[in-house]
Amino acid sequence: MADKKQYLLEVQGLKQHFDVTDGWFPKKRAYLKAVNGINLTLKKGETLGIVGESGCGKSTLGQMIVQLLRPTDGRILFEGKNLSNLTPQEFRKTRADIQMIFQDPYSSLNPRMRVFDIIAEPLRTHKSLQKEELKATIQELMETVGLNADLMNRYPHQFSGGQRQRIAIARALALKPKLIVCDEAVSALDVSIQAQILNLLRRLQKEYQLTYIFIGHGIPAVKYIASRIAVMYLGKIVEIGTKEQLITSTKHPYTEILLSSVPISSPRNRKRNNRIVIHGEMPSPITPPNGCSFHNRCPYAEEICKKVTPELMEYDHGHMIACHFPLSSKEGLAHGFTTASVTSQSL
Amino acid sequence: MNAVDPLLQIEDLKTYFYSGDKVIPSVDGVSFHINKGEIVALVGESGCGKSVTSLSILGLIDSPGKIEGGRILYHDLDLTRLSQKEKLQIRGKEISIIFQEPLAALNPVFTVGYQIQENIMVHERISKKKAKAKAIDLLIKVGIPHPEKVYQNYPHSLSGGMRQRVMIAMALSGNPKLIIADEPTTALDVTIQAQILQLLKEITEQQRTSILFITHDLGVVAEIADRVIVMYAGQVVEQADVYSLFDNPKHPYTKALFNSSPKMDQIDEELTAIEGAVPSPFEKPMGCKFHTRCPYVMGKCKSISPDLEENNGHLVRCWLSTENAKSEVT
Ligand SMILES: Nc1ncnc2c1ncn2[C@@H]1O[C@H](COP(=O)(O)OP(=O)(O)OP(=O)(O)O)[C@@H](O)[C@H]1O
Ligand SMILES: Nc1ncnc2c1ncn2[C@@H]1O[C@H](COP(=O)(O)OP(=O)(O)OP(=O)(O)O)[C@@H](O)[C@H]1O
Ligand code: SF4
Ligand SMILES: [Mg+2]
Ligand SMILES: [Mg+2]
Repeated sequence: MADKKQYLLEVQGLKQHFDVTDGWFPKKRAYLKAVNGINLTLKKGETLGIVGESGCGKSTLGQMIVQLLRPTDGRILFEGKNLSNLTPQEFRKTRADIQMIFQDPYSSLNPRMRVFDIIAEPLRTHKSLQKEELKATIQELMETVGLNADLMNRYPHQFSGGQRQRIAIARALALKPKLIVCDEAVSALDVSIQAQILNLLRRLQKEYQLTYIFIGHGIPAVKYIASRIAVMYLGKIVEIGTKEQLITSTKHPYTEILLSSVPISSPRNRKRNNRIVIHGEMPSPITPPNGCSFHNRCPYAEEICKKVTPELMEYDHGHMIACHFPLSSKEGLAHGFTTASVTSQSL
Repeated sequence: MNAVDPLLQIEDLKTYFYSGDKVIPSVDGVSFHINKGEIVALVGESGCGKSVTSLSILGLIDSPGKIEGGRILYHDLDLTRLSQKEKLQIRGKEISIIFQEPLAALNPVFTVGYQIQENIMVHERISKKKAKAKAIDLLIKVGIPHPEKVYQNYPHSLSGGMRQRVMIAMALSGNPKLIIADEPTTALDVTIQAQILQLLKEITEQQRTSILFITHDLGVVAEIADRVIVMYAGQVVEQADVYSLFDNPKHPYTKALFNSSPKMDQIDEELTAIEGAVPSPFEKPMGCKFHTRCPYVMGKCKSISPDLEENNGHLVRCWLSTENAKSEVT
């Protein structure tokens, strides 16, 4: 194991169990296990992508990391400090160090505030700047994200979707954070605007040594921006590794299905594509199945999968999988769509 | 490609919206056709007029919007000139629609089975019992497990993918010749999207149903379309069969769309974003509507609007292509 100090963020056994008990005098309390035991580490300057189907717990995980939600169990260490027992001062400091950008630039910005005040808000609560200093800072922030600073007195509705997302990014950058959690930050934008924002995030990362957690359901976009990718299923990480490991030597059957479902990039690949169609539904996170939580939909499940929960184990330099029967590399290639589409790219 | 056998033919359609004293030319002279059994994809950025085009076909444009010109020929019938009663006869029976958000289109107080059954009985004079049997057949056809059980369910108790299947079963219940699918998979997970696309393909193969598939995802187009129409700011800027369009996109906007979409099989080069934003509907530029963002813009692009010109079945609205075609001829 590497030296602890080199991690910016460490998540250990993290859980979020929402109380969803029905009625006033329930016979039994019910908990929705949105995040159900997550471990991960993040180094400074890297981008961890998080993918997985709707409801698997991606946003809940992000919200615990930015301290919008208190974990039910487990620990989050930021620069080695446990976020659950900080002094008020340290709490304010980490609040500034860890920022979040949301999916919907329309609803995450207060419509009655001018752009100036939207970006100024975190600066006003955390810093005491002179009027002129504040204005200069905001001017600089707007220019950094590619907005014309002359527009600082306008309201959000006077901007396009892409520009609004830039406002949200400027606001997130205001306190010079170390970690930014981007929750579906480009999902609501048109492709051409998505590319602008993805490029902006990459540029800012280089300039300011930023670390990102990039949550997204568009797998090609996540692959573009991330250095490592974690695949979540029903509140747990089932596979994590560098994007090359994940894509070219896929080990978890769920990852394999997820990747094979990504739309092809050219109609010329229609015949060659080995799509694996998933069956059944994601089980309820209130009553997750015993054993491997993917067993009822897994094409390779055996008896043991129904009984014993596979632990996340390391296979190869940071490539970790939670599965009793990880795909062998050969199998991964045979099933994977990557070989087919890579060859066709040269057409 | 299939033999040309047009089911629907749109000619110079103009659908405008009015806001105060301003006019929004949402659909500004659009022409295209859909053949029998063909899947035509309609792509373009948010606000370019995709949904307004589809609502015009269905006769669903209400004030402050109005069809101001052009024809929509279904067989020999001009859909823009139908009475309310005639429109209702076409809708659901001849042409049906699947929306992005099925919850908005399904009634929350009735079971899904009841809604499909009612829909069948609007278009066909059959007994309740027969209609129910047919509804269950449809649920089986769209791949719903335990159809008898799901028949009794209310829409909100189903998952997103199941609801979209129910929507498709509804859309199929009048045996339509044309299905308009307006971003039917945009709200779904990729795994479920793959299932739904598969299902729609099977339906066209088995029944020769035509589909107008609206999307802004080029990957989805690559999966499903026979022919592609690219719209920008209320106009068609390019049209070609899916292979020609992917092999050789010609309009600068289409090219930019390809260059700005991240792909799985691409090494990490920088994405080439299209700078700027779609022009506001109130202030559409003179000349070529794309000239404010186009990397190849020339003097003439700023003042004169290029026409949609054909070259080997590939239609492009761009001065650059027009010039190239001319120089090839000479
Ligand atoms: N405040 C809450 N109370 C109860 N359940 C919740 C709450 N917030 C989230 N959940 C549930 O927790 C699970 C995980 O939700 P979460 O929003 O984290 O998923 P997600 O992976 O972000 O999904 P999506 O891709 O749709 O955004 C879901 O089943 C959701 O319904
Ligand atoms: N009811 C309406 N009143 C006023 N303007 C409208 C109305 N409906 C649509 N428009 C305008 O018409 C234009 C085209 O809208 P349309 O809904 O067809 O876009 P779209 O291509 O479907 O976009 P999206 O990808 O976001 O669904 C937009 O500028 C929109 O503002
Ligand atoms: S007509 Fe001119 S501005 Fe328009 S797309 Fe072609 S080159 Fe670009
Ligand atoms: Mg989420
Ligand atoms: Mg639309």
